[in-house]
Amino acid sequence: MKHAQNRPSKPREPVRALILPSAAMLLCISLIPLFMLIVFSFVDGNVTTTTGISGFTLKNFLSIFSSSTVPSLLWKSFGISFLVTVLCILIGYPAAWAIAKVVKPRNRNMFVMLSIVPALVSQLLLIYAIMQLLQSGGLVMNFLEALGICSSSDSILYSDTAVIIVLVYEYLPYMILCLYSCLEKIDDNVLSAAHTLGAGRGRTFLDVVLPQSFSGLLAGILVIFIPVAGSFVEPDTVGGPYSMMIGSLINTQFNTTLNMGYGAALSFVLLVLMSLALALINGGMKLAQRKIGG
Amino acid sequence: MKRTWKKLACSLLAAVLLLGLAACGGGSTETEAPATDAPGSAAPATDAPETEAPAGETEDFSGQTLTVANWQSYGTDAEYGAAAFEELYGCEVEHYFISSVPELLQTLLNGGMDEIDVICINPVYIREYFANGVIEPVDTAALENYADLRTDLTDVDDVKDDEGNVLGVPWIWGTTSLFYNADVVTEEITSWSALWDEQYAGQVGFFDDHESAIKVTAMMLGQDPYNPDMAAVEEELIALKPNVRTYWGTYDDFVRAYTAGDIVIGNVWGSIATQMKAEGYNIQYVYPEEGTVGWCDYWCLVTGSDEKDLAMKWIDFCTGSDFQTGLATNGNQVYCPANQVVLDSLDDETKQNLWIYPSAPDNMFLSLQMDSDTLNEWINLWTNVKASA
Repeated sequence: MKHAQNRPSKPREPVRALILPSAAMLLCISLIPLFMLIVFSFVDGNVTTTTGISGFTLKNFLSIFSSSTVPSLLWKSFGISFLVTVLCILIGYPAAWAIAKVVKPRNRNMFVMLSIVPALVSQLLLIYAIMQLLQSGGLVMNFLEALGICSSSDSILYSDTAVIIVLVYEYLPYMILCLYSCLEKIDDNVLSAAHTLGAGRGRTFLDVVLPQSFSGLLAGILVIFIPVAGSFVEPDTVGGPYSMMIGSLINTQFNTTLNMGYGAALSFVLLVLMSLALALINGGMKLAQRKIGG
Repeated sequence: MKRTWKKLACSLLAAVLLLGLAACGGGSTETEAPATDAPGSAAPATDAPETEAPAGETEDFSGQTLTVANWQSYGTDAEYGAAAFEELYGCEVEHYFISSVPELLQTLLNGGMDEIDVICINPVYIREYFANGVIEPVDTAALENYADLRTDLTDVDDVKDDEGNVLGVPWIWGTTSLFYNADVVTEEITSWSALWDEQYAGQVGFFDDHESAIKVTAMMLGQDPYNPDMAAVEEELIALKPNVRTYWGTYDDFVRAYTAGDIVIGNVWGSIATQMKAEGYNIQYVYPEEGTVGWCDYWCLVTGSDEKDLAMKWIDFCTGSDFQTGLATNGNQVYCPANQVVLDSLDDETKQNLWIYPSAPDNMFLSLQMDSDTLNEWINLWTNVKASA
């Protein structure tokens, strides 16, 4: 009888109103700006609160597609972004593995904190710090001279190499964090089982570790690849005469030529190309995941 | 006679007390001028009959705040700049630091006009600012020091509107000319073509500025710097790239590259060369025979400023002898004064320091206004050069 009185009630419906703040946030910081970017990319010239929009045109996109400069800058930006992402993966995997599996558990948090310190420091400060190291007579050049590789009066500043070094330094913490979050969840017993069943280190990495850290790897790639392609402070500061990237050209449109329409159109083209690139990366990762399991 | 002296002493004491009270309370009590021989102290204020002070007295602007848009560390934020002006007029001066002149226009158009009262810009943009309605003509008759300013800087069409009303008052000027590190470059440099010399491959520090770049190249090619053959200029600037180590944009960029030995020749602002020389570097700053790039910054009134009277006092103060002399002599970062009387009064050492001894360069091509199409053409050319592989 008692049981009959306490019949399990119907599961309560989630209160849909609770998603409203998140939805409003998404609308304000993502969808509306995206819509504005698309609208502004068709605007003729500049837009201010005083002058308003002077008219709409297709010439921004026609200029981009007829330009010889834009494709080369896009190509260069994607190339540098790809290289920085690959270097972050190559350096980030061993680092994240070391923190997750080699360091004693009680010291892990300390190492995680140490690895993300650069991400907590001002971007300009990081750039200037690296410049001190890389300039003629700096620590790095003196070290290379001691190894007999070059003279300390040489410098790798003002080159693509310097841009890549700075960008890797800035974005590496994000890759380490993304990978660490996956690697620490891998059960040590699974790794032991792989060894027991005769898998070498390479086989264990490919069949056990890699499939289980795919999600972190993908997150790291997304977090690094997108912002690096749009960088302009790094190439402007430590780059040389051949280091200009598409971000610098976009920045010029908003700060120097005051051609907001063209700047928005360039940003829109970059956004579309980035989305395509990421769709390709995502597809490729899923394909690889299916092939090797995980 | 004794009673007269006593009266005078009492009056002075009362004046000092009143001044102190005004300074503490921020009230609007009119006071006698502090004992500062400041420019503009006797200047009648424009459109301010109630506050107009008799000759020899300084108006009191206590409680009022003047917002000045200027570059950081560019004189006005020095002790002898805004602080002296504040002391003189009892007001407060706030700075809005400019990051780029076009960006300042954006700021003014997007609400900055309610905040900023007076701005420092160059003639390249003055008429554009006026066309956008963000600056208004300056009543030069109300400026005590205007008559002392160099006429080649005041009689510039690009700082006047179509009716000839003055839109900008010249403040300080200088050059962007050729520098070289005399410890490394042993030959005497007399031409811009030295930057294209293969022996300086990878050692040139070139100013990241479309105007300097195009004018320098035009001068090197023997063309009119204001109207060059753009295709030829672009070709030469691309040809210069193997020699360029860095396109420097800021003071820090230049100093870092020069002191590290990364650049040994190129173009630079005269003020930086002065500073580097004062710090012991063997830098040489020369005006090539083809000519040099000049600049002059002007003060402009923001349209509808609430502090127009104070802004006029500011412009007069900036062009007066005290501040102009301070700008030419104070510290290592010095500038050439637009006030001819001040310029003539400088000693030889100061002139050498300003790279104008025995005289200023006579073939200086000032930065002037260009229509938006030409400006875009110049900027696009420079962008293409930097983006070229």
